[in-house]
Amino acid sequence: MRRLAFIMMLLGATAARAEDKVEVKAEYFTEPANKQALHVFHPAVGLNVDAHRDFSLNFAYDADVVSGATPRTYGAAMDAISSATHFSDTRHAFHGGAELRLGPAAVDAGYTYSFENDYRSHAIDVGAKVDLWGKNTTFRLGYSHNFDSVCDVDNKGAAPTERRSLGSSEGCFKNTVGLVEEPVAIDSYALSWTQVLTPIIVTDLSTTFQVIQGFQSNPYRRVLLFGTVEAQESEPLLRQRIAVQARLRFAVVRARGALGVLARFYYDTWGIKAGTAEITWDEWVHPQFLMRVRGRFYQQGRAVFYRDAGETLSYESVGPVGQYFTGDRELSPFRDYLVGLKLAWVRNADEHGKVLRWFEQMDLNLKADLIDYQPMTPLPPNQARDVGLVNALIAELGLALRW
Amino acid sequence: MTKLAFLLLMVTGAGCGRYAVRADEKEYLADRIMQADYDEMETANDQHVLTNREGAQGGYGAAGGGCGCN
Repeated sequence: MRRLAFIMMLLGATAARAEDKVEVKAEYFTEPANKQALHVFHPAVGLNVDAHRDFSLNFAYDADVVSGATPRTYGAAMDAISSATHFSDTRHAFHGGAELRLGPAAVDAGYTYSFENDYRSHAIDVGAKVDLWGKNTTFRLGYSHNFDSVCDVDNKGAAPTERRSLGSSEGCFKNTVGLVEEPVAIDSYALSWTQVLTPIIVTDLSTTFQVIQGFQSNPYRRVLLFGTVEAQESEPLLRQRIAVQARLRFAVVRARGALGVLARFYYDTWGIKAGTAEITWDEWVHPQFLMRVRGRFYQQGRAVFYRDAGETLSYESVGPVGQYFTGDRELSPFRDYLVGLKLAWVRNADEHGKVLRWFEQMDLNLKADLIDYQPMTPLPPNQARDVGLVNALIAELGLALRW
Repeated sequence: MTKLAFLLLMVTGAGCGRYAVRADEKEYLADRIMQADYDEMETANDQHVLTNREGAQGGYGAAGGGCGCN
């Protein structure tokens, strides 16, 4: 479901500031579990150009180079180590967009195409914002629609417990006999309100609503049912999700820093309720060096049809919940903690001239986040990745040049 | 929950409808550290990573929502 995250990101990100900028980032994410490690390398590049005083163009490219191992079948009777299957894939995403500024208002639109071996996505996004009352208040609306398709085995007419899983992505999107392309339509709506409260406090309140219709299971994943039957994961074809987030930033002038707090509440029609709390501290430790420390807490409940393999009423014991069964860790109840540090070296043009002869500003930054997952059931999917104190690492190196 | 939401709405709305802060008072607001999504690409990458591991997603602030500082 990373395409969903990507398009939701676009709802917020396409309203680029009116400035010429090129930015490059290289991110590495890993869950270094023994025998079930996951590695994701995520390079990204973005370019924003003011084509006219009131008109900007933006382009972006990013990729996910994913490799790792995961058990194909979820169930307590499965040997998670020996059944782990190695996989690798690369996703490419290209984005182009434009923003038109009309006095205190601005409108933007964009298109994104992404593809990988087993997934294709076309997405359009539009947005509008307006600054009011001396730019103390900003409202923004966003909408996007995805026309996606996912490769799957042709299981037409088969009962959920008889559905076969996809063995590999070979032959996908090539009209191969025995394979089909399942459609997924995603509508995302976003509304945001930013408010300056005092000369040192700014807040924002945002909400997003999303409707996903279509095949949302992992086509490769199987679930052990009744102790003997292995069937392709079966999840509902419709999911509606809503999230509300509030943020506040408070300038601590004496410390040349800013305190940020965030609270987010989430609910969806699969029954998942989640909450997020985050606190950040940004400080200019030197006129050219910026430091940020960050702490984040997240907790979610289970989807109504999730049954843990370590519990009495597991799929292995009593079968599907209605017609649904899943081995998706994202649908299990868990909490996670994140702590992170970011350092940035920011060099501005001054009386001695521009930075590197051309630029108004250069921003070189490095960050590292550590994550600890804490499952709230005995035997969730990919449990091997939850062992130990640090279960995941995010490292990122970035360079931004403005002119 | 309802009380918290109401409180957030009241606090956020307190400065609405008037020039709560004048342009010449926005020195600190103009600093990048007061803009939650100043590094939009980092924010996007964060969401990209975390929403692949967590069931929840969305609710993000809309980047470009002004700090009112320019």
